[in-house]
Amino acid sequence: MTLELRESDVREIDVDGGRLLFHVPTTSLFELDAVTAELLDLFRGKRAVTEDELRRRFDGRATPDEIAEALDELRGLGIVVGGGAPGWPERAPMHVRATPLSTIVLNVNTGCNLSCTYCYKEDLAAPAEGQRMSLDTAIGAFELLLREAAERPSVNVVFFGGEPLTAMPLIRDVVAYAKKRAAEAGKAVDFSLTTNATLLSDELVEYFDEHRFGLTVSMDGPKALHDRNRLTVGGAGTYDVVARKVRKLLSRYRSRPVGARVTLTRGVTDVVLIHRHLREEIGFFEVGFAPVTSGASTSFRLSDEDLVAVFDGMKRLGEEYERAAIRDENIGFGNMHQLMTDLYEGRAKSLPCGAGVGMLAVDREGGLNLCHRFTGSSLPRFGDVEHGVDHERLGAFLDGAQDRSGRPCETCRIRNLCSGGCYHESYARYGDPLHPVAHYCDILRDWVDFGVGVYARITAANPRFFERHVEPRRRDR
Amino acid sequence: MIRACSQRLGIFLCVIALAASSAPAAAKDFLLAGVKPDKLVLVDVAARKVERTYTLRDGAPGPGFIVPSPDGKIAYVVVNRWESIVGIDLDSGQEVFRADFSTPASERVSAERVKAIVAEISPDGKELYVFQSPVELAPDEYHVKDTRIAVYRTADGMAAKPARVLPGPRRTSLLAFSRDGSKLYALGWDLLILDPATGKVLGRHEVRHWGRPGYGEPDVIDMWPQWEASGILVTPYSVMRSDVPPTDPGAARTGLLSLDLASGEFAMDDFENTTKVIFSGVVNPVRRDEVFLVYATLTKLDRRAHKVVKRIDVDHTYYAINISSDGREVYLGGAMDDIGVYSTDSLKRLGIIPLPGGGDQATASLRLIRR
Amino acid sequence: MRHLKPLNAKARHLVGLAEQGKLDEVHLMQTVPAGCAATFDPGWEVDPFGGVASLCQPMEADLYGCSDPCWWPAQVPDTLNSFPDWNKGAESAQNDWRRLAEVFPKR
Repeated sequence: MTLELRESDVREIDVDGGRLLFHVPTTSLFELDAVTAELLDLFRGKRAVTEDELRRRFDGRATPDEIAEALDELRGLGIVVGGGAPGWPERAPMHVRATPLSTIVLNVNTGCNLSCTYCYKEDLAAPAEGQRMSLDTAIGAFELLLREAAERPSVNVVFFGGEPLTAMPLIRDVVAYAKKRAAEAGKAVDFSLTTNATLLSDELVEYFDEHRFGLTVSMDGPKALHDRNRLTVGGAGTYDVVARKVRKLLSRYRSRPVGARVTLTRGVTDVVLIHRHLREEIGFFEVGFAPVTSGASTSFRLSDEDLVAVFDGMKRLGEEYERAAIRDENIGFGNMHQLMTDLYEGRAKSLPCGAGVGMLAVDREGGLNLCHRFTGSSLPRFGDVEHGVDHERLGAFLDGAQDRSGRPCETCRIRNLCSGGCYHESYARYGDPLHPVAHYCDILRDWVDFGVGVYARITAANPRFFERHVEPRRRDR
Repeated sequence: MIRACSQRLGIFLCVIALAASSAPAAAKDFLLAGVKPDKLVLVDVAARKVERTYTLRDGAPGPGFIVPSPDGKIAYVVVNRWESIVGIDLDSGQEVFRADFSTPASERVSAERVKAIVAEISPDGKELYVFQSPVELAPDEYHVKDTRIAVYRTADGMAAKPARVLPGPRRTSLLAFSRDGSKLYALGWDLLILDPATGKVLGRHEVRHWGRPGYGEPDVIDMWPQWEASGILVTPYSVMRSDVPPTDPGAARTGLLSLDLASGEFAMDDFENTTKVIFSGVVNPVRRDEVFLVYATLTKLDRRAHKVVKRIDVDHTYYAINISSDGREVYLGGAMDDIGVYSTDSLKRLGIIPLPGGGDQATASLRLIRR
Repeated sequence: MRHLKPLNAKARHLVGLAEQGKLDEVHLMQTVPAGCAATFDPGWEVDPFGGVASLCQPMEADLYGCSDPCWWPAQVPDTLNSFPDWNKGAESAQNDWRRLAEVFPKR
């Protein structure tokens, strides 16, 4: 009987002398013992291993029973195949035809009072030319959400733009309407909003707090970095205004933690510095970093060298995260936290994100888009508020997204975490939402290896960290 | 083939050479082109259309170098991922010659994988010279072997084996016979003059090693054989001057290398500050000072005056360029899936000939024959 | 499982099922994601990025001219030796470039 290793289903990572096994199909993590470790060494790089070779390899160091047991465990996971043990079977795609929606993103105004250099919004306009969503459309969208939410106990409404604060009257009307209708439907409703913060006022802060809005502020770091790209229409930096308003917001806001969203572009890559400023000096609860790797404008796009620098910075910040976690503290590094959550739970994702599955974005005409990044793009809509979700088309798209055959994703070791990457990034870079994010495949694989190491060390030194800091966030979603 | 008389600097020079068998009385110009995945194409240029398409049995992923027999009856094409050469009879469409270069492993000897980019045929059509780059595929590693020129007898037909093997200098990208068949020129980093019988180096023209004061080393890359009409091989070169700062607009120079295959006359002269990339060129058979060069532009050059006479942009890059026997039209090929036809006088585009199947030509040759 | 120590929730789940002899039933286990994509996973994505679909660049005219003779052996699959079928079905780079496959280890 010959046995062989199914290389594409297993990833071994060395952590502080221990050997970890990352089971790719299920995102489960195991620590190897001496026997399983030796077995993997034997199988690695060999086309096939015979029983004879097995016996000879372990000559005295493990009993036949132990070897057989360990081998069975590896075969149970589908890592070793042959001799009647099949590999872990390819997951059958879920034919999504009607998943309950949980979230709609409303593009309330294509206009924005700023003119940030890297803004990807394809339908962005100056405030005067901004096209607002009508209340009718917004109401229609919420009704669609209620219908499509089926048995879900709660729904979310996200306000997006442009700059949503330029459309407050609409937002207030929608909030009032949604709360009433949700109550009638027996569901809870949650609101979120991302803003550039320049238009915040005391009154608005109070309003959002009262309605428990989840707020995210777009801010790129200390003044020198923030003012590179986040500019007014006249070209002036906005840091002074934003910092002042955010400090005020953070001193008063009680209902939910407030996060900062950083856009990393050419010249804005110092992750450690930016995090320290936004979290320690300004006081955000959490900072999330979004690197610009796509887009027609190559002047902002992170070059390959920049991307490596960003990744190095993320690793260094990740090491800080680890040290803090072992002290039972969470330093609010959003990206790392997300990865830790995925690993802690063992999420094996068949799709890269919730776009089209739990979430849809509504453009001002009422068209339904995969997500907010696609509103105003040339990717065809998946229905509209008036006629409903085009479940067939959307389902077909999601089927395609899950089908990895013939793509590099098929054998990639992070295929159940990355799952092909952000649709919009792929669309912007390759013209195809299902194209793998080839420009950083290697970097992301490296990042996951790093994350597994961090996870393992935190688990070893302070396993309660996950219960205390990761679990609650999940429920809060 | 009767060579045209040309007037140069007040000196009349007529060269008459007779091929082993002459083209038929009513002969006209045709082009041979190669198209992905596996097609050899015969183009009737006057009619602006494809006369005939030949499917090359193992042409995929694309035909390479094309060498026509001097009588215009057979086209020799490098196929099989550059590991074989076949001769296609243009009338019957049949394979009438074949040489495979690679050899499989045997009990004692490792497999040898041999690639050939360039080939040339002797003026009497009897011998095919193939420049080969072999690699020994040992069980645990590859051993790069010396390059060589394998000489085949065209009369040997199918399963031809080399009649002799000559040493071939590495980096050769073009092989061209002198008109009288006594010398084989090999263009690589320098232009070597070889004895076709033995491969002995009879002489050389320094190209990369020209050692001209005030200049760096010229750079030449040319894999396009286009001297059929005029008997003169030309290729562009680029070179940096060492006597001016690199920021000087005149620091990078483009020039023309020319080799008269009849007289052996060799020249290398700059003609402009480098502004355009140029891949290959062709000499006008009826006005031999006139040279046409191509890549993303089509350029008419006066090679005696070293001056660009006219230049236009073309729709897309073309790599190869050939010219009609009467010097009236140039044909732009290579890269994509069409042959552009331009007037040599005005550089106006006279037509486009789409090639069958829509596949790209990539680096396949564009040869002129008369039949 | 005695030789593999579970380190995360999913692994513990698998171990539990293995103990019950139900490992086979686990095979379809998967997560339907609700959050954002794992780029560097910024969490709930609600912010400016960069991008309009960038379409054909003029380089297609030269793609095969450069890849056929192995001009870029690291950047494109080697059609001369290892991946002879790379541009099968995509003979016109300008029109068919979308069909060009990536090459990757097979399962």
